[in-house]
Amino acid sequence: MMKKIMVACGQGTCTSKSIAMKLEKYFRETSRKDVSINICKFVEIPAKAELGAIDVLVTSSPVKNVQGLRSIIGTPLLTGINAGKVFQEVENALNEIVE
Amino acid sequence: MKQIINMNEKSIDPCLTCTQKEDALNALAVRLEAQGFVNSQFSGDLIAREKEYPTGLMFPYINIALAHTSPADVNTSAIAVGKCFRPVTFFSMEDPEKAVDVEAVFVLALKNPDLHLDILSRISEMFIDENWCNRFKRTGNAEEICQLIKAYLFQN
Repeated sequence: MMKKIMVACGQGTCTSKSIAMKLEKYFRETSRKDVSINICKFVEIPAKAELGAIDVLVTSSPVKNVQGLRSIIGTPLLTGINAGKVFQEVENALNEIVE
Repeated sequence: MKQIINMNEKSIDPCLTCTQKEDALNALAVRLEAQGFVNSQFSGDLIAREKEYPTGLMFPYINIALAHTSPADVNTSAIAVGKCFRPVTFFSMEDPEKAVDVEAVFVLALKNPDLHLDILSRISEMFIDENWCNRFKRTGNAEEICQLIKAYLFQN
């Protein structure tokens, strides 16, 4: 079963894509193949969640409408500071998902 | 990455003396507007967006604001850069309550973000590069800054 990561930012374009690219690279390097990564705008989160498109949410800034979702701030992946911690948090969140 | 984003000396202020983030953003937006790259709404939208979704980022060797707004106001994709005479206070992207004193402000005006999805990735790698940061901090004129950025972002 593919675990679904959604990366969100204000516009659903460049910022979320940059964070998504870092995650893609990380999973390539760690050979983790059960993950799909998509991007969207903050305002689209509730609708996407409703559709079941989000198992783990990664955002560029803190967002409020994330009840019930595993939500992680992904900005350290852009700055490189504490990036390792974010990868670990994402891994932990993915591993918590029971099939 | 092929250069389809405009970067030239007119878009660069090597000594941005604005003390407030709104003025800094406006000063750079005005440079883009003067060249026809963005419309007259861009500045206001940029400032409003910065308030809602701050773009201050603390990289290992430098603090930067990476401001951007919707493509609706953009005619031609372009980047404007202001190197701050004194650090200007923005707020952090990852923690909007936290102040970040930035040494430079980058304004990204992207007409078709889908064509430039990797630009932010490229820009953030540039800021993580210690050598690049040292050179950027030492440059004093618009032409040098322009060359420095182009060389990193648009080399293949």
